[in-house]
Amino acid sequence: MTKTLIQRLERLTGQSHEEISQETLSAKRRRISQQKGKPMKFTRNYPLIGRGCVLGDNLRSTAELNREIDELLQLQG
Amino acid sequence: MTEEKAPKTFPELFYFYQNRVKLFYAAVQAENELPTEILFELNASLDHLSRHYIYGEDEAQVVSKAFSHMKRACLDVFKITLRETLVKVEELKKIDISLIDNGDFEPQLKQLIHKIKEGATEARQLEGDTLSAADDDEVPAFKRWIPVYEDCLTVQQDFYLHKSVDWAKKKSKWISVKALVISSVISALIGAGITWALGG
Repeated sequence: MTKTLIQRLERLTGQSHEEISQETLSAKRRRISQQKGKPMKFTRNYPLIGRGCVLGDNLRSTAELNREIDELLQLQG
Repeated sequence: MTEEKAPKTFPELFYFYQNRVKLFYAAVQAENELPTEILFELNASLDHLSRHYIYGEDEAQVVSKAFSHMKRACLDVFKITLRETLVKVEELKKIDISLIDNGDFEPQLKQLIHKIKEGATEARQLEGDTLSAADDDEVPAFKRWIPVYEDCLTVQQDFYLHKSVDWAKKKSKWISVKALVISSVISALIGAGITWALGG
């Protein structure tokens, strides 16, 4: 991997190589979500990538899952 | 260690993870979106690593398996970036970029796109050719994708975000507005002419 590619990735992420490596994935997720002002989104890119995705188009957010669990547990309404 | 040398031990594998995989992962995550397919590959890596401790599988063997999944996760990042780049290129094609950088911008962009498409085609063909891999765990296309990925970032950063692109967009918009006004005036004049000719 060339030095130029690393520099381009640093420019893209706004972090140094060292900072990217040091930061934990959950801290990164929290920081970027805060910066963007919305929770991180999961996407499905099959068949461009992936080798057979079993999830189909039914990706669900944590908030949706929590809402359903709360309903099942009758914590809401 | 370089990516040309496959890791054999846990420290070597984690060096690859921290210095390659995590950089590409961060590039995708910068958009606040994570493709699930990448996560599946990383989960598969973790599963192989755990098998050394739980089922006593050989370190070199689980490292090799985990390494191939990590490389596939990277391949996913490269392909997503290629798609994004080509979408951005299509946006650039809709505006008049012929005057940027004294006319050098457009041919340079075209040359780079050609290089990207050639490189990506070659990498994809290699990916599909399992016979060229020494064993099923190898991902020979990985090395071929790296320069393609770098070129994609070049298009995004040096061309799509070029300071004169905004000027070209405004110019193209102004030309469209001007064309619309002229065609409206001509239509109105023709309409008036027809009305006059019919003796209205």
